[in-house]
Amino acid sequence: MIEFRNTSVSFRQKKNTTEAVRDVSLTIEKGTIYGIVGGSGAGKSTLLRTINRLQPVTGGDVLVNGESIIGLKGSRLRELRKNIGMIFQHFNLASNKTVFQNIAFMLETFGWSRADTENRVTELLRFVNIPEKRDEYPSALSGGQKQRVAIARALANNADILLCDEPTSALDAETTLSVLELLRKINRELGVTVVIITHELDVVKSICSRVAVMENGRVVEEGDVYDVFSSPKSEFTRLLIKRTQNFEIPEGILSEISGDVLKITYRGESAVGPVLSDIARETGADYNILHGKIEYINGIPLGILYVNILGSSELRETVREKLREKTSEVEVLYNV
Amino acid sequence: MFENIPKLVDNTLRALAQTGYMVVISLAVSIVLGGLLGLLIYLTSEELFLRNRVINNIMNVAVNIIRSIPFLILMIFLLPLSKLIVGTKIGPDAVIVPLSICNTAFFARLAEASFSEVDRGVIEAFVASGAPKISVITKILFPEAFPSFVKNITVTALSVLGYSAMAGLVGGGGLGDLAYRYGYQQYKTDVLLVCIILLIVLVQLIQYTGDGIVSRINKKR
Repeated sequence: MIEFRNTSVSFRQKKNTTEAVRDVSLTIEKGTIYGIVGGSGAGKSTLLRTINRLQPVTGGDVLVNGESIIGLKGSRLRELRKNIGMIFQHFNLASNKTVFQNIAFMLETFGWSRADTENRVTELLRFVNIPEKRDEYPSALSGGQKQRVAIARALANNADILLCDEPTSALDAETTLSVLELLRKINRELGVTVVIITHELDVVKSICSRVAVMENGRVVEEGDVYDVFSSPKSEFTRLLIKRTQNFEIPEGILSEISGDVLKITYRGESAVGPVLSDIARETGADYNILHGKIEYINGIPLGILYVNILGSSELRETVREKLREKTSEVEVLYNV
Repeated sequence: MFENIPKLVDNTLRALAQTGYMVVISLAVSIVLGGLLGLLIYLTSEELFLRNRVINNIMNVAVNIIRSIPFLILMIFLLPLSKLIVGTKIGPDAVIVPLSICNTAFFARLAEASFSEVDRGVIEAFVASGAPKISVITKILFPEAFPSFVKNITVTALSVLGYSAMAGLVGGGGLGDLAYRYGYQQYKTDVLLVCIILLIVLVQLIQYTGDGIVSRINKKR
């Protein structure tokens, strides 16, 4: 378990003080996959680094497994770090060491014997699914393979926490999926607590169970991923989600439209039922679907539908009422 | 020109041996001391290791002072020190002292650059794993900096060779001395020519060897 208690980090550069993390209080439960999202400069990377003390805090406290880590030094700090693996956007493998040597360093430095090291590295490479790359140098690997080596290195000493600093931001879409799948497997099979910081909301949606949204060093929203994405509370989160949904009704269509344009959000169960056609049949209203999608967050469907409802204003009113009863949210975008 | 070949060959060989002697000893001293100094400058500037502004500044200033004195003047200035260390103020032995000091400062800068060039993220990744700093330094930093380090040894070897030619001015011997005394003062163009050719060959050889080693050991692309 990781706890931030009023954690603050500020940097002093000459006369200016930058507050990178401001008064953050969060609890990351053991065994979860936790996402921290936000734009660049939001302080998420700084916050992540306080967990293994790569970044000292300037205020508040950070607890790992119930123990405050802010004052740790020497061998006790190294013991903490040994139990916290970390992976990075640019993989950070030693370029003059083979895959085997990159991982083996972690073991040998903690006193593993030659034979045990051999076995452990073989086991790790099999786990991350690149056993054949054992004696390659990093320059011969693809981005996804490098990240797999980095993951194996981070887990070598049986870490129970894995910190991921933009783990997929340098990878293409397909490789991203396979690396995320691997992270999920690590969480599920080894019970490792995974903390991911990213600016890609899709990453959070696909594997995290909880998420914190950061803006300007503060956590503006925190909660279950489905809740945060289906009904964001803070203005910033709403903006962030809107930007990734990336949907605007083209001007040309708007000028020809009559009636209402509604944005209907379905959550959970109602996302798969034929709600709209039922209501249309009942009321006799005509509708025209402009845009729609259903995505699965944590395995729960979230549907968003943009529809144009035609008919008299009373009829449209009835349709709106009925939709409000049966769906999660109805927003009137245009009313011509 | 070329009327006394046996004597020319004899002189040239002796000068070559003296140059070799000065270069090898001075280069070895410079690599060890300069490498250490460069490492310390790097370590005291890096937060992940032993950041210490005061010590870092002192070493930087010391290196800058040595680097700001032209070699010829440094050599004359340091000859009393040579007398103290090697017991003589003339000959190749005497020149080795200023040659080593000058190139120690030179190599310290280059070595520091070699260490700084190592991707900080890589160092950080290993520090974050809980490995003791000393093993990160010896097992990660050194191997990662090594190709660049070797490249800079080549550069320093050429610098030592170049400076060693100035040793002639204080009776230091070597190819530079030969070229100066016979070629310049006695107008023996053949001697001058032979010296120049030998120096060109030496430089090519050193550079070629250095580049060859670097391309063999560097796994980064």
